[in-house]
Amino acid sequence: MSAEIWIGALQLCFQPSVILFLAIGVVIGTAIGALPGLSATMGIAIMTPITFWFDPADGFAMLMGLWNAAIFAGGISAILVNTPGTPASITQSFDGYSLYRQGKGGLALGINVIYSFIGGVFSTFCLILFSTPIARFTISFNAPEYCMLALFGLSMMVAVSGGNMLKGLILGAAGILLSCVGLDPILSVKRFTFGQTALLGGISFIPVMIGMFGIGEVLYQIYTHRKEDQARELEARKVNLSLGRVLPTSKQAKQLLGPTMIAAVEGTIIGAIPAAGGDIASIISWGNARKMSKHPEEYGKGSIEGLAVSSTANNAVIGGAMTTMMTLGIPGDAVTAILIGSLTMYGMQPGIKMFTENASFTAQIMILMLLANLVFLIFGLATAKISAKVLNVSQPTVWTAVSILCVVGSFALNNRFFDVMVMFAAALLGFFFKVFDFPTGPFVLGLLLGSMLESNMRRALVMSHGSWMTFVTRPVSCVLFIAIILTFCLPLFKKLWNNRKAASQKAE
Amino acid sequence: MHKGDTIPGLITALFGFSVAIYTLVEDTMRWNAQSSDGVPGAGFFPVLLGFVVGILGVALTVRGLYQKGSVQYFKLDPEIKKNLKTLALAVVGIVVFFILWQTTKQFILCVPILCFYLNVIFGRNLKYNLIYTVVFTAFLYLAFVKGFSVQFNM
Repeated sequence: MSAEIWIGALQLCFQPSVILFLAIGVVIGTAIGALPGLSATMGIAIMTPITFWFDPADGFAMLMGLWNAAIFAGGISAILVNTPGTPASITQSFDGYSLYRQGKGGLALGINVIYSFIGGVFSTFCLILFSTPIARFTISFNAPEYCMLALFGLSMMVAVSGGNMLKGLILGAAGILLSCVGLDPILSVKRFTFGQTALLGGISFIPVMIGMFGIGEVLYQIYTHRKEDQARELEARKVNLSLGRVLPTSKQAKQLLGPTMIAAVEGTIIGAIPAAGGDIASIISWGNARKMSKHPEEYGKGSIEGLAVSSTANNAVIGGAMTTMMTLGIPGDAVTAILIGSLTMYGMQPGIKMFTENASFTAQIMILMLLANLVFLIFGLATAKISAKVLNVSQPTVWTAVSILCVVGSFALNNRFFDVMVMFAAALLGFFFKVFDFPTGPFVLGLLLGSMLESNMRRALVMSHGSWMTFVTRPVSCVLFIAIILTFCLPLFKKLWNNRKAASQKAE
Repeated sequence: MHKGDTIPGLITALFGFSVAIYTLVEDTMRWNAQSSDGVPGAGFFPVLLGFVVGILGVALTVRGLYQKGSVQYFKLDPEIKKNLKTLALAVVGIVVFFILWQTTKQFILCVPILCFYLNVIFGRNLKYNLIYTVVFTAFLYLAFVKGFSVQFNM
């Protein structure tokens, strides 16, 4: 991207309306992230339809502010009530809450803000530096490569389904199956439309996301609501210890430089891997930092280093996930999946076209990422001591608001009641998926990537006159094919290896 | 639900095979395209994935049977039973709201009813509930009806 594009994008990003929406996004994101039970995904899913009423730059400013702030704010409840606000802040509760109990709550909150900012900025610079070369590399991609890329994204999502690989596979396939509804992408044959014109365009992705991560999550929280947990949380809130100093000393900052830089690199790389989100990044980084630390015994008992590493890693994931999304069109996590849907609604297609046809908007998104980090740094430091007040909002208050906003948001997308029905069906489905321990990630990715997979697979077969060898004779496609096989086989080999190791240890 | 993965597996298998069979009997969705040999048609993906989902559903059912009830998803202790009642009331309330909205075409009049109802079943007191309902409805009206001009009454 040329300097002119960057200068133009910079001017657009500094318009008062863009800054205002970014700030609103940061405030909403901080509240959503800080409240246990509300995730960044839920926030983005609910706010996305609303942003369609704004100018694209304003809308994306709000979403970027919300996402970056929600991930950092997840640490607030992890520190103050030992309950992670978002899954990505799970390791922040290990050290953050102990620091709070030691009377260093202010420092813990300050470290959370500062190192989340450092992680976010580092990964955004990686996005700026590496996205153009990666996007250029994809120019050589054709139908077989895109087909394999979609399959690779799906296989990664299934592979990280933990012990539920079978259920992940089922939902991945079911998601692709659902993407078949509507007009066939090659021959325009009607499929599963049952005479309904509303189904001709297929199942809209965003209402499904709103339902699954909005009302679906609310229904699950109602189902699993435990009074004793609520009492424990209320008790934790009552502790109300003094928070003390917010900023770390220069000596502490110097000591934290090395481990946090490693965590930033790890977080960015993990974020770029499809399906590996902030929770995985923070757990891996926290574990690695403990191994390399001079004081591993302090980890989990109030280590400033442990908290800084976790805070850096979970925000560094954002830039990595955005790199994969913008260059390859493969979502790194559920939030980027919604952002792809959002870009599609604006008439943009993630991938190389983002860097050629919509280069200015792409540059704007990257600058907005940097600005979002800057805004939440200022906002977070200024409000560190009063942010605890957000935690006083009770769950039922949130449930009612989320339920109604989901209805409003899904209707406002196209002024169509059909989308509300899709949203509600997805909500019920999402609830049952959670109850029966089905991972929702593969389903969402299957629905999003299904049409990319199908259209490119069939296009590739048309070009090769029906020869399936086209997928293994092209170098990039072949490498991706091997990666898919390895993704599925490695966990199995690992299990077999562990079983054999355990058996030999038993024999000894 | 004491059979763990058995019932979800059966439902999945039934869904998968139904989709595959429906596609096979449907004339327009063919396995192969008529234009060139060996190139998949509109029915290729639905049939293939229908069978994949069906077979994986059977595998899940078998796994559920092998678990012999060791995995239990609906643990119906008294608290969960109470939660299930709240859950059912919430779902019914939302469905009734949809029906009311579509029959009366008066979204902004139906929203406070839903808001009030949900707060009642979530155990909020009357004073709080009334303030919440009024403020939230006003916010929706000003932001979406007046601000974004969303045509809810369609």
